[in-house]
Amino acid sequence: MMGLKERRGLILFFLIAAILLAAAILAFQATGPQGIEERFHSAAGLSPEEEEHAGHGEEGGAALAIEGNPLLYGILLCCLVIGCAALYYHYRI
Amino acid sequence: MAHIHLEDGAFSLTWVLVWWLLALVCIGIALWILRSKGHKDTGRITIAAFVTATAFALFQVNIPLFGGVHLNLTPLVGILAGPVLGSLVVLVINILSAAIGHGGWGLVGANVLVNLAEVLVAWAVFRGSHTFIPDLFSRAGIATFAGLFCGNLIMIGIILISGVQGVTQSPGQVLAGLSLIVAVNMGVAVIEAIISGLIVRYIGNARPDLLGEQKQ
Repeated sequence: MMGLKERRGLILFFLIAAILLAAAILAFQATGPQGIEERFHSAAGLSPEEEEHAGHGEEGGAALAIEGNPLLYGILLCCLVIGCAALYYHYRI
Repeated sequence: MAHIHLEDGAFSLTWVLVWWLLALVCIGIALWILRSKGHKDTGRITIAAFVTATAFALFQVNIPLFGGVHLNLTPLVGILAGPVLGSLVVLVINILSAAIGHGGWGLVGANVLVNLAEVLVAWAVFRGSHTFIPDLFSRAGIATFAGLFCGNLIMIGIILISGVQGVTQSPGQVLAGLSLIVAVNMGVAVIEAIISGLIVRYIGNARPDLLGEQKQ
């Protein structure tokens, strides 16, 4: 037989769950069916046209565009591997 | 769940470096704590390895709910591995995720901070509510809600502070858009809370010592 103490936790859990599900359904009705990145882009205010140019410093700020650049991607991956190897040997993990 | 799904270049280089630096400071503190302990808790390290593999795999699974979402299991990481090893787990997960194109490299620092908040808050709520909520399922579930909610708040904060390059919307409009994401994310948190609750209850029944609990 479940005591009041055990039930208190479950009641609280299901109460929070019900509120969160209701909020999620309302938000979903407002946004419509969108994928993860699609929803993120529309929330951040990136239109499909802007998405292609976002991050390429069009506002004059410095940008870091690695995606779609195999050379930069490879360099970064090599740096990470070398860094991990150095830490591994230094600390004798 | 709370994870910044923007490409490299969304944040300016300054903010990329700021979030990376903050994340590295947190990781550095975790490593310092681990080394200052002297002995290695091999059991806890094994759990951390298992949750790393599981959470990384789940990160990549797109669940066709509310248009598409993925689970994090970071609160479960916090509950099982603790905040110190948990911070290393989220770093590994985010680096591996970036390596396969899930989130940009430049956003790894920001995403580590988001996930770190989830790990820390879930761990703190799970440990702190022991006397108020003795039932493991509901305690782990509520800790998951709390962790994921804080992770979402950190995510919004990071995006609003950094600003997204090439966006003409006002911060208020971005905040409104991101609030809808948080609402959807928290709906999915219900699934994550149930999964985490069931796993924690199972472990609590089979091996309560792994949770630092007495057998019920």
